[in-house]
Amino acid sequence: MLFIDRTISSSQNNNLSLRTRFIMRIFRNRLIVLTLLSFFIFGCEGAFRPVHIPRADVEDTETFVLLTRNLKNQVTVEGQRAKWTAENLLEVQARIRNRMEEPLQVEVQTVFKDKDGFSVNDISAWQRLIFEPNETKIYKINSINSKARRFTIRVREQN
Amino acid sequence: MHGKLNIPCKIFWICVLPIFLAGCISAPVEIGRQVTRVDPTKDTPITGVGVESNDLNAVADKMVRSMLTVSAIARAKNPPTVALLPVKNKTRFAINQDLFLKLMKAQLNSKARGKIYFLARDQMLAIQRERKLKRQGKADFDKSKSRKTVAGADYFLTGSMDGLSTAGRKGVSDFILYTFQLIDTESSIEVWEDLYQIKKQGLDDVIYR
Repeated sequence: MLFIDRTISSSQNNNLSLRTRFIMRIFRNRLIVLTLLSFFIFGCEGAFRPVHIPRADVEDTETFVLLTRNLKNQVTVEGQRAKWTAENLLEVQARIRNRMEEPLQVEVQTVFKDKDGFSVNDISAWQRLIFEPNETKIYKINSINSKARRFTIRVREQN
Repeated sequence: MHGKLNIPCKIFWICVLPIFLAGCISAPVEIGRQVTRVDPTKDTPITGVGVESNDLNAVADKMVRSMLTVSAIARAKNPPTVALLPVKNKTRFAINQDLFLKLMKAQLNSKARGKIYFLARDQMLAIQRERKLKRQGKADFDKSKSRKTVAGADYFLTGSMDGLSTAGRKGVSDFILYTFQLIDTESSIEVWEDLYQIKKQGLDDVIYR
């Protein structure tokens, strides 16, 4: 009887431990799932870091940029120069040529910057340039204040 | 028998109740075209052959930059004082031509601060009233800042828009010449003038207000 009792109790213990293991396993799985879910849900909250693309900061390094890919086949700059006027303003000139065999209209703007590349509250209005086929035009502009140290001429398509 | 309604009465309420209920519901708001913000320096689909915001920006910007290269402004010992005179609109477009001078003044005041002082001649009545109150002792003020009279203008800034229009079966064409001058108020000499020309052609289907 004692033997039987022991066997029964041991089998009950075994059953219990199996059940608890099963329950534990379920809970463990649920915990993992919950942890993952909370990571996915709450992990997406908050601000995001901007994507940094190397060599994409063309405007920071170049003095003449085209804002759309199409313009690469349409216009080119054949010369640029900048000088200080007697009034201590930065005067910029660019020789822009229509590369096409048909008339072209583009808009040009200049951003005047300090030595670190930040605008000195001086971004010119977009000026329309109307070209004959293969024509070259001089774009000339001066800064409004004497803070400008660098510049970038932007060209955009005219829709 | 008081709690029960007869059949005509039921029909009456069935017809009348929805009317009462419908009266409580506000009429559905008619949603028009979605409003979008656009770049004021760019052409939009709703554009005509007249003066647009991008023209306004381009003209004002060119004039401001040009004006600052004039030695009378750039090399003046003290910042010159400038009063605005209305821009004459000699085009067929009924636009608010004061926008040009307002934009030029704001650009100069914000981007080239201290180069030119503009006189608030459009606020003259209020200024005179305030001066009077101060001098009567009814308003407190710093006496070291007092002046006998208000500042006079060294220069007048003014301009005009002159138009030339042609119309045909294919549409209309409009040429507008913008000219701006800086006039010495003592000698009447125009110390600076610059121009901007725009010619547009197309269908004249836009109304300028």
